[in-house]
Amino acid sequence: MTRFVARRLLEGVPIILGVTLITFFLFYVFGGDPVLEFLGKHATPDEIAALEREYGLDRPLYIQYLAYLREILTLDFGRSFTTREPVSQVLLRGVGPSLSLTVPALFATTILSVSIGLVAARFRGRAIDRGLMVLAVVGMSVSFLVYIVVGQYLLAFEWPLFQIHGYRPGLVERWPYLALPILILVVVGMGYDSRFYRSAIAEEVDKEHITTAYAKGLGAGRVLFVHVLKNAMVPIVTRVMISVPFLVTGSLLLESFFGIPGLGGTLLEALDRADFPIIKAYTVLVSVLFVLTNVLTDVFYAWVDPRIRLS
Amino acid sequence: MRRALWLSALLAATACKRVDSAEVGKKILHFGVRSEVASLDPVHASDEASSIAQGLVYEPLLQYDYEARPLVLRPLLLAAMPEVSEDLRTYTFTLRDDAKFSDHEAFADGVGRTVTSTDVVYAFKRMADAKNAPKGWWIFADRIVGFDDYKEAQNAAPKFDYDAPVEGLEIHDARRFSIHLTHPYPQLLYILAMAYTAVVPREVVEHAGEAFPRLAIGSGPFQLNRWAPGVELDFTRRPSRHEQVALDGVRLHIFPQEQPMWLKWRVRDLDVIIVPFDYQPALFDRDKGLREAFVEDGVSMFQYDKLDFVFRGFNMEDPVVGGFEKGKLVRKALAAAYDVEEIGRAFYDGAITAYAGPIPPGLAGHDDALREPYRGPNLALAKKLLAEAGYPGGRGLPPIELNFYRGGSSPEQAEMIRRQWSKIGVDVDVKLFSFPELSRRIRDKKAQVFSLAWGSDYPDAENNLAMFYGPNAAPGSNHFNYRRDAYDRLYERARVMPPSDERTRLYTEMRDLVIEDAPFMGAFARQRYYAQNRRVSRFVPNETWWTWLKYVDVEPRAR
Amino acid sequence: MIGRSVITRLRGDRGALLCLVVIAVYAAVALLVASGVLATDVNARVGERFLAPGPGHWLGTDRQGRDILARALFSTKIAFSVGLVTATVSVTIGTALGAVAGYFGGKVDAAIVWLYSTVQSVPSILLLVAIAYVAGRGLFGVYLAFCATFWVGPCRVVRGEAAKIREAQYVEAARALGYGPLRILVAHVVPNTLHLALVSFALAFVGAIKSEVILSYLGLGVQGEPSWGTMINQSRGELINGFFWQIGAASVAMFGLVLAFNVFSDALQDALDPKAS
Repeated sequence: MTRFVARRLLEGVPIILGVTLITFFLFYVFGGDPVLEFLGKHATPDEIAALEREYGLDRPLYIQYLAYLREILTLDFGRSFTTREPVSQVLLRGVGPSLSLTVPALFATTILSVSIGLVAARFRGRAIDRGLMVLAVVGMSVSFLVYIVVGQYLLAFEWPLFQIHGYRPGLVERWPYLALPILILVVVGMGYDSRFYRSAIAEEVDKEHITTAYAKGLGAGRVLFVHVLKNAMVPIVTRVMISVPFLVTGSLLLESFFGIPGLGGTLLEALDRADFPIIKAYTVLVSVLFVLTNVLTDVFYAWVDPRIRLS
Repeated sequence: MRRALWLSALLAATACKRVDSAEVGKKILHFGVRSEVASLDPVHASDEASSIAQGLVYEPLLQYDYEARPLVLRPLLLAAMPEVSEDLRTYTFTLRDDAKFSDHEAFADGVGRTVTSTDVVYAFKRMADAKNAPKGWWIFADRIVGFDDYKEAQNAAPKFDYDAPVEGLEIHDARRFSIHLTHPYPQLLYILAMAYTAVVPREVVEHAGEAFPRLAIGSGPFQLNRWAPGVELDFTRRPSRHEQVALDGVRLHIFPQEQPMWLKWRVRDLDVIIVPFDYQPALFDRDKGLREAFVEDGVSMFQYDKLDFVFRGFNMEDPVVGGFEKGKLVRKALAAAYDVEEIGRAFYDGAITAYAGPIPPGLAGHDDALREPYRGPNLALAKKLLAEAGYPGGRGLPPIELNFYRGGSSPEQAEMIRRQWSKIGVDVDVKLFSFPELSRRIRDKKAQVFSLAWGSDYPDAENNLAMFYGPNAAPGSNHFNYRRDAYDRLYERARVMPPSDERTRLYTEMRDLVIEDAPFMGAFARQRYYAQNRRVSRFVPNETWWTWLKYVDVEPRAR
Repeated sequence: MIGRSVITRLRGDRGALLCLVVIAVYAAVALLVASGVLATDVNARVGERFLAPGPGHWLGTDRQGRDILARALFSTKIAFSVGLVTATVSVTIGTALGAVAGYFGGKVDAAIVWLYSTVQSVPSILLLVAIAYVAGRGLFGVYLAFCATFWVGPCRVVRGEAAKIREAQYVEAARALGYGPLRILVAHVVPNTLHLALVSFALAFVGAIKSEVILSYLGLGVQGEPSWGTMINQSRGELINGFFWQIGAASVAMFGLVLAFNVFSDALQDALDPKAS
């Protein structure tokens, strides 16, 4: 087991290296000029040179790339070009709000979608199944931006059920502000997920041992919940795990419309201001999480189904 | 179902409880700003949000009169306006004796001490220290005796020595000091009202180190109570101060998007906002004024005329649109085909003033009646000029590359210009960039035609005229790479002259040279509208300086 | 394989047929726009700005006084070109790489898995922005950004299927007959993954149209020509002024096409599903 995990983790190293190469070249070689952005309209050649030296942007590219790798190993990404804060501090600050937005949304989406999937699969082909699936397709055919703009206007302003905008750091105080963005995320996600879970569950229902269970006279609910759901766990967990590394990145549009100080907004700002230290650390963070969740998913598979050997 | 109803009732209850209990009975001004505050260190002051925040906490030596227009300088940290020597090269200042920094553990006993001459000189020297990544060295460059040498020597030295003397920054005693200039610098007093020169306490800067930009220990009327990055900054009034301030506090709310800011203002969570252009029609009708519903609500608005120079610039070194021969005809043809008023109506709700030359309305050297002879839309002239340049009907002219910012309405404006130019047979290639990319292209002289906005740093046209001074060519602020000896000589004469009719005459000569050569087209200044809810009074906004928020008054919040 | 039975099954599904008609209508509009019959001048001023619907501007005018209907119709062409190019290129690349990886396994497989894992683990928005930086703005940048990210999905599913096919008896037989790997790939592996490719195609098509809205919002979308994304983006402030025509026209037009595609791809999936009776 330990050997398996260690090997899978090692396999993640090339992925992280690949990500660093992509980020480095796309942004360093082709991106904007953070120095000019920072110094503003009165920048003089001397000042530009001085700041480039200060940021280490005057060094040869391969040295800068090696410095990037060293930053990853030491987990010290220096300071933001714009706010001059330590990068780790900026990112850590954004993780909480982003997770507060995405984790409840993922839970709610999954639970609701699996339930809808169960109902639809149970009544497959009947009016209720068709109705639910039509709703799901309709829901996923509307643009995300429209959900946000119209949702905020109607549900928080015209019909003031929710807060329009803002955030409180308190563990309790934050929820009134997060309620509407979470709701939007759930509505958007449910369309996709419920269709996926319906077909995953329907596939299980068709399998032989389920038919046997029905034949043995077990109640429909019991069969559905105990047998079908248990076997459908693999696709469900796979789908959930895929989104896990991206939970931490929050939602760029939702955060900026609702004033949630998460990592989505941090990234948008960093991109706009060519704040490389933030972009570099952010991509590494996500790719490391990606590798970790992949390993976790494999471990989970092995645990559910011992036939999948850890090799 | 019943549970869902109960839940929505709970949410509604929490949503409706808008006023913080701690705020009841207090005069807190809630102000919406459009971007994150990047830094509270005065040497970084350049974006609007940072300037607003710094203006609450830090004080430069001078400020402007709150209500007088045109702007008049007034002492802020000074006891009186400075004395100026005959030769205009020595300014002597006397500080007021009752200005104190707010408390911080770095001070003896943790109590903020009185502001002294040493603090002023220290703040100036911080602008020379490259490690601070200062944005405003240009205000001192080549002006103060010995300061440029000091900057060079100290940045080359292993450690920047703030105690090393600068000949031109002479301290007489704790309250009196002089600035000695290499040559007259009539804009000196304006720069001493800019946030860059605001006074900071050395012991706190050194104590805080890299964390100083997130701190706010100044002599201003407010202190930073809480900073939630990306959300809001909460300032409270300091207990004792040399000026009477009505407000108990100011809260800056950060809005990356326009819609939530507007909605928050509509429900009166915000007292004051700068109205986005797209939302102006919702607030008022250009002919009839404020909309009925807002009048009933006691809302008022304030029109502020920005000292603004928005332009479409040409790279004068470009083979097609540059130079003083064929390129000049092409530039004028493009300008004649361009309709700035149509841009104004579509994207600024008509809230712009088009003008000729680079000097915005409100400054000496500007002339409202002046029209450049090639002002568009004048398609007949445009076609004629284009033919004269050797491109009849646009034939033979390669597509013109428009370099625009990719956000806001810029992409749409580029589309409109393309449509306007297509009428004379000119093809356009639109290129959109983020600001850093756009800056890089302009600095590298790769931007054939580009769009930028320049806000005057102080109310003197010298600031705009410097943009056409040859030695300031890219990567300097002369983005046009405009070079004309006659212009440079005029500029060198005018820059050392105090305001006078003679100087204004030089300004107009320079303006007319630029109009003749057309290194840019379609200049305009934007108007901005501030919208205030009923609670706000004494609100006279100005964007040249930001230490005025302390003069605003609001009614206390009821429960 | 996609055979007659699939068509028979689809023909029986009235909803799917209706959707096919809807898609055909959109495609016809796109073709008419492309051939210069419909919405010929989308930049022309047809009247004052923010007009309500009326003769000559049946869905009102935008803030430049341009005809919203013409712009919404023109956007159909952009949607089809973005959708078709993205879907064709990304599915082709994805299928090819997936088939190769699944069939050969070993080092080739490891390399391809590494490639898509890397692409997948970069947040897609970051990759889109970065590619747009490099490729320059406009339609080409949009194509490139979408193709570079969208091939991962088809690649994964096809790889899984190809690995199964590789063990199938008829492939073993082909190998025994001395057929080369290329011939087996083309003759056996790829045709047997076509149903996956077809479904991926529909997904990519819809995904591209929807993602274009977000790219436009970030100022990285289609330029110079109207698209539903730029229309929605430009009308963000209009809602507050009580002007719904532009955001409404673009959203409804996009909704119709995306909905039809979604329903149709579902039906297609069901029809292709060998397990369904």
